[in-house]
Parts: sequence; C-alpha cells; structure tokens
Amino acid sequence: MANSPASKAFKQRLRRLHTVVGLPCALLFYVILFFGILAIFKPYITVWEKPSRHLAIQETGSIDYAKMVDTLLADPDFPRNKIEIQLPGADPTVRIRHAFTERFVFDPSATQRNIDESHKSTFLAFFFKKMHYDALLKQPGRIVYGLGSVAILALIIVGIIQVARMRYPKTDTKPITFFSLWHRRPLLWLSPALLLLVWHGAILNLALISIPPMFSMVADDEKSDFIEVMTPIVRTPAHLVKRDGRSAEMVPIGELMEKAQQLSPDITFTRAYLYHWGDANAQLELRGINPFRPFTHGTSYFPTIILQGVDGSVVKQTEVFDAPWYRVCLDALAFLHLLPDQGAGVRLAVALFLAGGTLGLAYGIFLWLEKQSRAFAREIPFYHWLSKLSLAVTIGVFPATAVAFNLQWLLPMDMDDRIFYQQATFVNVWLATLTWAFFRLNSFTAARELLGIGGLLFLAAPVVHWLASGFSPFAMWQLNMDTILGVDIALILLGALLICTACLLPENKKELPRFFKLQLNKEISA
Amino acid sequence: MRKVYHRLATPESSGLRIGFFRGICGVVGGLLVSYLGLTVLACLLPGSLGESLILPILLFTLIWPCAGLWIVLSPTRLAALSRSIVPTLVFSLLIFIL
Repeated sequence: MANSPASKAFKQRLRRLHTVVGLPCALLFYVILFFGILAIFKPYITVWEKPSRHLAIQETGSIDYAKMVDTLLADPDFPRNKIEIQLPGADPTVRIRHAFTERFVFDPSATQRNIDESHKSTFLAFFFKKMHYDALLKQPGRIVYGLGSVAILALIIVGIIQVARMRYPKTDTKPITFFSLWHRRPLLWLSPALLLLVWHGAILNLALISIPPMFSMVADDEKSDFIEVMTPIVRTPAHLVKRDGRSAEMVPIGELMEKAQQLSPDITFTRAYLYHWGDANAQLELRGINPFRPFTHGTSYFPTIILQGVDGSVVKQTEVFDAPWYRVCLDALAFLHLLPDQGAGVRLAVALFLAGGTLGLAYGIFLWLEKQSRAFAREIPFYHWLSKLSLAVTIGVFPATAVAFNLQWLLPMDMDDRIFYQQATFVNVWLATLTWAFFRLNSFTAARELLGIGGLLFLAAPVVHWLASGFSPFAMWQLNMDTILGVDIALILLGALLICTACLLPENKKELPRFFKLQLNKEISA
Repeated sequence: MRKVYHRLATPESSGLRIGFFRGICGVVGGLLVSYLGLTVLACLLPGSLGESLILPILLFTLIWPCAGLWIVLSPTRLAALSRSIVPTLVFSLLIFIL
C-alpha cells in the first residue's frame, strides 16, 4: 500500500493542495497574524494614543467612585438604571457610561472629569483591530476574511496530514531543506493554537450569514427572528431590578466593592453596574474574571456578585462554573483568541508565539520560490512577481505601521479628518513599498532598505510621542505611567530589532549561506 | 454517458493537478455536506431552539474544510462526486423527515 499508485497520487494531491491553497492564503494569513498581534496589545495602544489617558497615577488606596457617579447624577435627566462603570485596568481612568449617553472619563486620583476623545479624532488601536478582521470593508470584508480563514483551516489540516504521512529530511544544510524544516517546525508546534484561533475567527466572521438558513430549517414557526433566539444563548440576559420609588441613602460604592472582594477573593472585578442608583431598591452588580480559571469564562459569561445598595446585603452571587454548558463552550473557544481582560504577561507570550508563526509562514513562501528559482541558472537574477508581492506585504507592512504610529502624535489632535489622513498615508506607504519592491532588481537590497526605514520610523515614533505629549520618559517613569512607557519601550525594541535584521541580512543570494551558516559552499565547489 | 462514467471512474495517473471538477466538488460539496449534516445534528440535539443551534454553528467552520478535504482527496473523480452528492441527499431527506 505504501508505494501503490493510489498512495502516490494521494501524497501528490496533498502536496499540490497545500501549494494551491497555501500561496493565495499565506499572505492573507500573514496580514491577519500581523495585525492580530497588534490587536493583542489593543488595551495598551488605546491608552498610548489618547492624551486624556496621560495621567499621573498615584497609589491612592481606594477610588472615590461615589463622587464621580454623583457628579453625573446631579443632572436630573441622566438615566439612573444600569449605569456601567469600567474599572481601571490597563486604562488608568474610570469610564462611566449608559446605553443612552456618551462615555464619561474620570481621572481616578483627582476624581475630575477628563475629555474623552471620539473615534473621529483618534482611532489607531481600533484601526489595527479592524485590519485584523475586515480591513475596514465592513460586511464584504468580513466575509472575505471569513472564507479565507476556512481555507486556512483546510491548509493547516492538510499540512498536519502531510507531516504525518510523508518523510522529510531532518537536516537544514541546503536552502530548500532549511526552509522546509523551519516552515514545518514552528507551524506544527503552533498548529493546535492556530486551529483554535482561525476556527474561532471564522465563526465570528461567518456567523451572521451561516446562522439564518439553518435557523429557518430547524425553527418550527417561521415568524421568530434568529437574533432574538440566539442573543440569550451568547450573552447573559440582562439583570432586571424593580424600582421602589422612594429615594434612600446609598452605601458608598467603594465599600460595596471591598465587601464584594472579600466575598469572592479569587475574582478580579473589571466592571460595575448600578441599577436605579439612589432608589430604595438600588443594586450594584460587579463582574469580573477569575485569572486562575482560564478557558472557562470571560467573553459571554462572567462570575458576578450583586449587592443591595441600601445595606450591602448579597442579592445574588455566581461563580465560574455556574454558566450553562453552551456558554462554557463559547468561552473556551474564544479565550485564546480574545484574551479577555488578561494581563501583559499572557498577551506578550501569545504575541511572541504567533510572531514565530509568521516566520514559519514566510519560510513556506520562501520554500516555494526557492523551488521555482531552481529552473534558472545561478547567474540569472531571480525576479518573480510573487516574491516581490510577498516582500511588500510581509516587510512593507512595517514602515506603513510605523508611519501610522508616528502620525498619531504628529498630526494635531483637533485637526479635521486626521483619521483619514493617517489611514490614507498608511495605505500609500504600504503601496509605495510594493512599488519599491518591484523597482529594486535585488530583493535582498529592497528588504534591507524597507526593514531599515521601518526600524528608523519605529524608533522615531516614541520620540515624536514624548515631544508632542509633553511627557518625557523620565517624567512618565516618575508618574507611574507604566502602560504608556511600556508601549514606547516596545516600539523602540521593535525598531532596534528591525534595524539589526536589516544589518544582518545578506546583500545577495550568494551570501545566503553565511546568513544561515549553511554548508552550501562545499556543495558548489564539489 | 458511459464514456463520461468511465472517465470519472478511472483513477488519474498522477495527483500533480487537482482539477476544476474536484475543486468544485470539494468546496461546494463540502459546504453542502457539512451544513446539511450539522442541520440534522441541530434537529436531533435536545434543548431549546437556541441551545440546539449553537453547537452546529460553532462546528460548521471546522467541519466544512474537513468535509471538503475528504471529498477532494478521494481516489477517483467519481468518488469525489458521490462523496458530495450521496450525503447531501441523505441529509436533505433526513431534514424533511425530522
């Protein structure tokens, strides 16, 4: 059976499928991974990009939430039921909002209101997130990305079958075996995580078009709406509180939070909801996550504790495993993808692993190009459209992203259409790298130049930020602005890494062995 | 007709080309087989309407590529066709009955 024609054709088909599906999808997958890694750091970039979050953080024991809520409730027209308070986390401010109001941002130490920036004036972290899942094309973009992720799933599965069924040399002494080995190894190690991530991404993007036909086939009465039926499944139904009508004195919110923390010590609270605040039947709901129970909750289900506003007695308390089974399934699937309320360590680890995955992808494209280039004599320079396109997509994205980071603080905050100029420059720089890649005969020169420019621009971004925001790194360190300083340091490290890579890259193909420390020279001389 | 049948039933000498026929069978057939199969699963699962739908919806994007690969990698083009048509018919019938 092992060497029968059927088995041979099967293996050939596997290899062919992996190439045919892989080449168009690899670049899409790279873009998704690249912006996905940036989206992992969205909570920190959001803080970095907004002047209103540049606050001195003082180690005050407790935050006076009651005073902040009172300033808002002084307005008699402000809605009283279900006021949402987002507690400080990566974002140092306290954000209070209601479904029918704008969002109010408070400086926790001074208890005063700051002016929140709208999406029209600053949109950097969201922009990266949107590039990750729909490239700002709304529903058509989502469908293209969703179908692309289904193809990527097929690609990963074919890859796993290939590794299981075929034998590969374990050496990395020739370019082809080197690329093959380092295409297989990181992606095989990462394949369980990648399967989970891409699978969940495909669900998110395709759910809206994949539910309705199945719903109409399964539903008995034709009038019901699938959104009405599915919403209570994927979201915890709203907690309803009846208004008493008499006003009463409330226990301070800070005290209620302390009590809740004592009752459920494992849970890190991230959000609070006030129901009919000031009424005799007022209630406070606290939602959080349990960092010791990952993969079980955090996107559709949260452990909560509800306290009475008048005396602080417990109305309801739920733990992690009180959720119905389908919500545990949803959250287990979503955890690795969305990393709900996770800290910097988890985010950094996931980002570094996925960065290894992007390298594996790039080696996959190199492998195919290396095989193509064997058709030509060594003296003929290899000029292939796919090599140029991949160069612009994979390396050209660095200068473009760096420009977006620079423009965030270079353009005045009150400028009209600043988001448009920022994003248009991003796109144009990316297109310019494509032109440059095709213009340069030698891809190595182009790659070195693009990496160098990208690195310099990434080094410039923190400097622009320090000058434009008025906070020097030393001042930020003294004022405990760790998140913002952390983003600056990450940008500097990334810039330095890109410049180092640019310096280390060989100047042409003949020097490639030196770069990989291969033994090609022996072979050529032999 | 018999000629076409024989051409489809003979295994190709090499797998270096996938071919348009297998490609279409894989993508469209895989979609139909997985979607209708999961609809049958949704009919069979106990619980309320939303509860029985959620698992098939989650599984769909994973089962589609699996079914597609099962069809594309079949030994002959006839097998690819039957692997996409037979389960589709069986599942459609089951949905009618249930």
